Amino acid sequence: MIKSTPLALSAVLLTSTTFSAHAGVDISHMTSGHQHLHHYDSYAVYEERVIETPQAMEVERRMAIVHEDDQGDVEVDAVSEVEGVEYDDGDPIEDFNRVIFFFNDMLDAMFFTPICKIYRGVVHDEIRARVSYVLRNVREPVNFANNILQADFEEAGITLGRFVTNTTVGVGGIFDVGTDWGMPFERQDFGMTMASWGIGEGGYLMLPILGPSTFREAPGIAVDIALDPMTWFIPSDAVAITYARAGAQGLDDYNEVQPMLEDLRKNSLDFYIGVRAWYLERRRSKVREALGDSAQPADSPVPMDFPQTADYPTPMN
Amino acid sequence: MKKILLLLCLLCASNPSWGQDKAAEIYMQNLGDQVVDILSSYSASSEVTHERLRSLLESNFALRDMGKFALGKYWRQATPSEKNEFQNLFRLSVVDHYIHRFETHTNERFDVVASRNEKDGAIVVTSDLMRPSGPPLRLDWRLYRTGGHFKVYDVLIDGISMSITQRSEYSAVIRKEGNGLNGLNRVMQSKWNARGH
Repeated sequence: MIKSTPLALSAVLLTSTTFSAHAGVDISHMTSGHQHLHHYDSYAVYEERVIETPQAMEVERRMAIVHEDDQGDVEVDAVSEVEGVEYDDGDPIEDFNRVIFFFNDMLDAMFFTPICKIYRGVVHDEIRARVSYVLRNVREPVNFANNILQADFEEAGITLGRFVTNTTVGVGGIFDVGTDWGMPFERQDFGMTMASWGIGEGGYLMLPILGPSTFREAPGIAVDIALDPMTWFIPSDAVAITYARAGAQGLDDYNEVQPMLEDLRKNSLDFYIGVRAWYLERRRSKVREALGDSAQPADSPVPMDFPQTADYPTPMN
Repeated sequence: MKKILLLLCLLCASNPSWGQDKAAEIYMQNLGDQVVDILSSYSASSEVTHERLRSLLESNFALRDMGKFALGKYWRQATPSEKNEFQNLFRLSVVDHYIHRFETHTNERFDVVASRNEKDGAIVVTSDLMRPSGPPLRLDWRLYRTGGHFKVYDVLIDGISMSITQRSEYSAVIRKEGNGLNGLNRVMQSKWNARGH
């Protein structure tokens, strides 16, 4: 997304800026703003170009001083090129998030990581895998509801088919027969549904205990709970089952990300930043995949000397 | 065998409209097999393993271009000596990172599944890392063919781009530390030292 906006200039800025002349710079397209410096004979031409990607906002500013003499001849006196980079971490409340992160990290070390290690040590690989499959199957109605809300009726049919097949033939979801029968698993949640409606991510949000999220995904969790038929009619004596399921789901989810967290704790330059970068890219990739967009990231490295159409800059050195 | 490979390369090169790139698939399968072979021939912690993995990565990964990308626009604002220092630290940390990853992934099999050509000229080779426990891990490799050779430009682990994750991390550290690329270099250097190198 590229948009041009005039850059407000003050005489103070101009007089205090040292210009260096760059030969051969084409300023014909830099007409997005004019400001007269002295009467009618000299003026500054300036342009601000903003390039936005989900990860970064690049601001490119260029400026030229143009002199017009009595005959109307134009002479470009000096051109300056200023580059500004404003990477957006997507983390508007970082200070708050860091406090919660610190708190979560203590809970991790004291409870969640030990519990997870015991779970892995005591329960066999194969049984843990089956537990994952059962939990995944129990959640299929939520996937179905989100398929419908996204108006993806084809995928909704697949989800329904999977649920019926895996619950019956797959013995309550212990075996994923659906995948073998051409109905592959696809996790859907209300955050993805909101993304499909064009609602933006809204910034990184660290939730207590639950961990990394965004302002879009966090309310989505509540909606997903409301969409789950299992939560609609809970007899008073079956509340324990609901808690047990939530606990098992939490353990299963944590078990999946725990090795990566350990890796980041050891290897990232700043643990908080490392987790944020990894979570946001992981979430964006999952949303892209769930919405059937290309599973490729928006941007990636290209060879320096490669003919390219992308906006990617080439080095100046 | 080499003749067949060459023939395949020529066939693919002459038909860019194909949705798949056999030559790139063969290249990736070969690279993956070499990694598996190195890991199974020597003990994982040995010097030889590290040395062989390092040279394999350095000759097949476009580390300079990856490093430049990971800095985003901060690259332009840096001095040549800062850039050199960064590229050196970047190379060390990436190689170290992958060696560490590979080591924990012994007893695995690497299978190329498919490939496709992207609009920007990249070739994406999809592969599965078959693990003894758990479902296969999906790895997507973004390759470019430059100067007659394939080079790896990005690795997506289960859809997560390493390059973009790195760029987010580096640019956040640069802003937190202040002092431009130099600030990042200091943090990377102390991380490197702290890891016992």
